[in-house]
Amino acid sequence: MTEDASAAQPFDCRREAADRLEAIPYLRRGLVQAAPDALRRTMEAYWFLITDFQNLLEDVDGVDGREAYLTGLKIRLAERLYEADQIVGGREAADRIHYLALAFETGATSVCALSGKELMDTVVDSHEGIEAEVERMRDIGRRITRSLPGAVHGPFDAQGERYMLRLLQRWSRLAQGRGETLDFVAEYLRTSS
Amino acid sequence: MSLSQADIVGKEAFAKANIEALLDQRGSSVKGVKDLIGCQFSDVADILFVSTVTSGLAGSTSDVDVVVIVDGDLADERMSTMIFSEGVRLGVTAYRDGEIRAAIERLSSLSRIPPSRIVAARKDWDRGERVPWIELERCVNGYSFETANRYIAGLPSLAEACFGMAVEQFRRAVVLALLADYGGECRGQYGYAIVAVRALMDALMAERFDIHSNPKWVFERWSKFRPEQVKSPRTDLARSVAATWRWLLQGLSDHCVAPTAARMLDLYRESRVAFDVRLAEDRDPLRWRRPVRFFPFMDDVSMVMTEDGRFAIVEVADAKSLAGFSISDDMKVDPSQARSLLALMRSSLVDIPIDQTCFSLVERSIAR
Repeated sequence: MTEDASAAQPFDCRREAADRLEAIPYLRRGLVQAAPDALRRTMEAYWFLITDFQNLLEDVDGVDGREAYLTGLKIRLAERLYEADQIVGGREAADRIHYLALAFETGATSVCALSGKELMDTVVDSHEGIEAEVERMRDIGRRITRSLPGAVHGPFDAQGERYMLRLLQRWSRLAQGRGETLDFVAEYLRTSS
Repeated sequence: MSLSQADIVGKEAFAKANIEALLDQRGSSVKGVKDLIGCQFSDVADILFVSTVTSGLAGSTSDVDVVVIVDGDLADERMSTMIFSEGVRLGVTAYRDGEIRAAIERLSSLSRIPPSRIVAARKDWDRGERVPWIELERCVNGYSFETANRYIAGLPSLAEACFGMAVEQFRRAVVLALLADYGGECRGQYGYAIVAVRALMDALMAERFDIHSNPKWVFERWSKFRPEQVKSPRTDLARSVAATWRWLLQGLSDHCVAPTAARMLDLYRESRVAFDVRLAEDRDPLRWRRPVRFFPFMDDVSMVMTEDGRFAIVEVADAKSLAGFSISDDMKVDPSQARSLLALMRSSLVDIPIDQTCFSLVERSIAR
């Protein structure tokens, strides 16, 4: 490695991580999910990516130059990605106090293909200025959202209500057929604002 | 924690100015919002503006959140609704006055129990209460152009509960940061250190009645906070928190953070002085959260299994012996013990029983 390449390493790491970003990598690769609760877990992670994750991205658009707020959002993003990762990965939920540490340590490879180091690099300041930081977060959001199979409309998107209703109708039928419940949706509708 | 008349007047004026400025910026008005709500609900008793629109945290993409207080009956199940009108996106939730007052009553009983039990009660809150915790916080901090801060009587209890939970989370995060550091994790300790600092910021702000349930706002709220706002010895602690946060952010950005244990312990010691935390209470042994059995798995590796077959693997020959470990500020553990303890805590098989019975506030002690 030349001296120049070494100096550019942190930036290149971020670019390389960004190039590989995608949501729930196994979904597009057709890997069969065999665990009894895999359907519910997949729907729950998908639900996170089209609701809370989209809300966080909208929050990034409203940073308005507030660096401390952006830091708070990035940390929440890492915590929520880890939370979704343990759902997809079939792991029992850890207490929330562990989410950020586990995100940094083990990454969120099941839900967005980011290693722990890459996820930590996403959170920490890149010294490129707040506008560049905001754009970097938007880019991460776009890449993950675009990689989801199907179009994504958020629940608070003015065109999104019919999309969400159709989705919930289909999921409800799917869940009933498997003896599952969509309790995570009810919880979201009750407490999200 | 007492709330002075000056605090209340200042809070009301601040909220009113923030709401009017934001609505004006969006080309709307208080009357416009009221008319819109009036078209959707037939029995409106009051309209509370809540969340970022009152706290001055709203940005260019923030919704205008309101809670509609209705006179009539409401269905058992309810959900937030979005109303789009003339460039304003209203997030609307409806409750009856009695529901909110009952939740505030329960909150006041909650603020008098030990912090470790408040944390557990907070986790269960949304399952048993008509008014979810986040909505209750919004109502207590909400502002009405008819009745000003209608539910402000609940703010001292809310502040006490949030303060207790934040200190509890800080103490847990410090212990976990130490274990991650001693256990030789690569980055986990920095995650816990961030959580610890964030919790301590939240505790100091809660004491000033600055409450916001969503953790994404903590650093932004802290950027407006001045250490001089809290009384000594909290002032010194607030300065240390600010310095630790700068050190942590800078170190992570430069990819060269020093080991976190010493820094976290310093912050912990300062918090003990500031909050009058009692040393002796830090030395309770760990406890198992559910019945478990122990099995040898490999040489120097054992398995801890619950009755329903869930298990964790730990790097010690005798996992049972870990139960004798006690939390203290001079914890001496070897790396494999630290990793094992961390694994058991992450898998929720053991608890850190910080049964803190007293956090002293400036005015009086709480959570006794």
